[in-house]
Amino acid sequence: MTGAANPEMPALRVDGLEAYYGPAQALFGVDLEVPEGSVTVLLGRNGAGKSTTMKAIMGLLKLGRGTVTVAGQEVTGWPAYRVNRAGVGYVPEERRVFAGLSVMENLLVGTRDADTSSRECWTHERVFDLFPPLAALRDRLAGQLSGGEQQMLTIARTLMGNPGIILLDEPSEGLAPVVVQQIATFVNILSAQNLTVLLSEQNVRFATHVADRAAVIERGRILVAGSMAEIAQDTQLRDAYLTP
Amino acid sequence: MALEDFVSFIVAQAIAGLASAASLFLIAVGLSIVFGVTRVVNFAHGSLYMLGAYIAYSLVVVMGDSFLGYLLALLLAAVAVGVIGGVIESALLRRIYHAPELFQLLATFGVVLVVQDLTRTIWGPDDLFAPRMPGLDGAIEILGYAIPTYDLFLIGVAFAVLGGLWLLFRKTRFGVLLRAATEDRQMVAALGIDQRWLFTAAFVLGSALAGLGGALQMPRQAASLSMDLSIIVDAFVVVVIGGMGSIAGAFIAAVLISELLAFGLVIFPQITLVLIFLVMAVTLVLKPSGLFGKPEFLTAEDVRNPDPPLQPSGPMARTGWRLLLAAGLVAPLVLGEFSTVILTEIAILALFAASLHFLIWGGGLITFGHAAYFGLGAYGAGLAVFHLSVGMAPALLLAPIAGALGALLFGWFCVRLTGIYMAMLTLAFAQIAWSIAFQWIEFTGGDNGILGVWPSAWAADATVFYYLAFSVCAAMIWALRHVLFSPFGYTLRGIRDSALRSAAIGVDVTRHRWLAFTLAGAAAGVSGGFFAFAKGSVFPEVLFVSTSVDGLVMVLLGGMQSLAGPILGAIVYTEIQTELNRLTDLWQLVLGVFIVVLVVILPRGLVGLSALLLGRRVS
Repeated sequence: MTGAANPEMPALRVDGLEAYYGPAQALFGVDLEVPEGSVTVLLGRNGAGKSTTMKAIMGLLKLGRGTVTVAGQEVTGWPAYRVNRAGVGYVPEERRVFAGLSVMENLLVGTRDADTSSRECWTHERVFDLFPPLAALRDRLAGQLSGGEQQMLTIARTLMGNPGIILLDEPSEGLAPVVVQQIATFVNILSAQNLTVLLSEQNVRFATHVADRAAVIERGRILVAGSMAEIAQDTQLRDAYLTP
Repeated sequence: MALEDFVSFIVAQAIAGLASAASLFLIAVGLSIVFGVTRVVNFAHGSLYMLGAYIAYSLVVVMGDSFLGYLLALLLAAVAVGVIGGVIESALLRRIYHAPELFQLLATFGVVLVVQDLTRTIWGPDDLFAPRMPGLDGAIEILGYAIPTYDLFLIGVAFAVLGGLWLLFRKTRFGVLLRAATEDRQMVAALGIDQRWLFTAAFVLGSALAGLGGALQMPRQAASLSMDLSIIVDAFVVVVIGGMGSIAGAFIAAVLISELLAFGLVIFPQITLVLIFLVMAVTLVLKPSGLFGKPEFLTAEDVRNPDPPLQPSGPMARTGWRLLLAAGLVAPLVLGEFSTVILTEIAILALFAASLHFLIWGGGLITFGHAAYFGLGAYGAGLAVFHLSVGMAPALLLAPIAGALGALLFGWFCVRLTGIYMAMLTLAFAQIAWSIAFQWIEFTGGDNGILGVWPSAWAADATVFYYLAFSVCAAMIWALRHVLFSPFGYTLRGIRDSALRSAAIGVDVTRHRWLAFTLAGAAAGVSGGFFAFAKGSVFPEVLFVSTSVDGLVMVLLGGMQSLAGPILGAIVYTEIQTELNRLTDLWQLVLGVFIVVLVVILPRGLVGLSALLLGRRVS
């Protein structure tokens, strides 16, 4: 991330993106804009294309037409590690902690030397401040953690790379309501720390607690985008495409 | 024997076993690390081991006069092999990380052939004996037995490497990254780590370990051109028992196997191989992923490259098949006797390739040891002639029975595994069959083979024998094709595309695979039986890994996605080999390069090429 924070330039911009799983097309021209410093939510049902969009941005899928631009720099078709180094952190849906590695080792894998950003660098201490339960588990194998703890660990691991924007794929999925509440708090904290967040959700209620902008995705296309409040109030849209 | 003598004997044998375990551990752990990170089973790992021994030999001759000079020579050999490994990785493997496992195995086997011929060219065909290591050329007495000090040195090195690897993997960032990549490569990439660098580094490390293993072995045994394939099979066995990707597993399995051999050679020298086979079988039945391996769970997403559904031949294809049949019938009338002999071989090998294709494409069963059933067929027929003095017809009837029985026995274990584990186990079984044929001299004639396996008088004429072989093989190929269109074939292809989904609708996956394996074994047995009579002899080579690879190259050359592929492949490949043999001594090298190029450039084979030229999409 070499570009300085520019209010006019979105942290992430996706134009007409198409993506494929093998021969099967999954995205049919996704347009998305994530303003710097915002929390933007990608809303949609199971199979609508939320995770696919995130994987496509991250360079984990075969792309068709379209572009991905991170802070003014086009990263379309870059391998995942370069997209990450361009400032994009990715927290996958299935959490994907390294089960055989300890919590500290998981964080070590995520650690990148921050070379540019003016932000304060993430360290073990700082992520443990953010996720206090992890501090006590630092030498535990990640595979032995609970779902909520693993979710914290994946977010923490991604933060260690000092991303400018973080993609959170369905962070609330499969977690107990009280943990979901915690995750919402974390997202708010991240946002307060000047981090741009793109998260995907099916749960509109959760989204309204954390997001200020929203885009609704259905069958690999963005149906509508706008402020979170507008989208949440559109009952027709909610009934047709979303889970309340 | 008094109790004290017995105890000291046990200790002495145990130390000898541990010393042999040292090299085996070094090579197996390297194989395991490379597999863990890159998911490629590197067949050429044994070649790196061999290079380690040869390079160490050359260095020792120059600088091995002192203990330190010798030690330095061993380490330099390891470094050199590491560098060679790095070159192989960045020049070849990097291009095939996304290719199916079978292609990767084949490409690395191509490297085996190339390294073989290069080594022969550089160091000559004779075994090379290195001087002993100065300072470690004596023996010390332990409990009344003289134990070579070099053996103790080897044991020390093995523990040092084990400790060093433990530190590397636990205490360094590089090691942590390697472990993370072993679990989830994609996630490692998404966290900003350039995998190319990590893969190359893992490969260099694994290669250097193999090189060190070879170098260390050199004072104990001569450097020879056959050490590459013999060690890779042992290493496969160790890795299968210990569990892929596990360092501790490689260590414990190496010790287990070596001790078993050390004691087995004393107690039951005849059946040590069978012992190893039994240990492997028991381990795999109790824990299919090996002692320390992590089980690979089937997931709903475990649906592999769906192939286009099999279509009954259209009018074009049917005409093609008829033309092929007609050409086969007319050819010997037009061509001379020498060509008829070659044609006979082609017909026989086409059946062998078709039976392999049936397994791989039809059943999704990756086998690297199909030679076992071909060879069992050949030996079944040959032994019947030799020991029972039966005629050709009953001997030929025995061939498929021998092939099927072997496949029934080996298959019971193999079909429980999938992917790379299965490939390695099938190979290990085939090599075990080969060593039995090689070692059981009284029964099989060993290296001298069985001679005088000639057709009966009525089929002694080359043309008559050709028509016999051609009609039987063509009928068998047609039968295999018919099976693929039967309900059994549909089920089999369903299992290939998703074992989990098939199981969920009530298919007994293991039994179907086992049956397919046996059927392919019987078909390969038929072709082996004819092969014995076509050559008039049977040698252990029919069971050797190179025979399996010949079959695989034919299938890949012809193209996997077509039933005509293996036949086309058998024709072209037999022609190429015949020509190459005539033209050059370095045919292995040429063949190796050919295989590598085939995998990298033409993964769909000749049928794919024609489809490409015709502008059709194959998948």
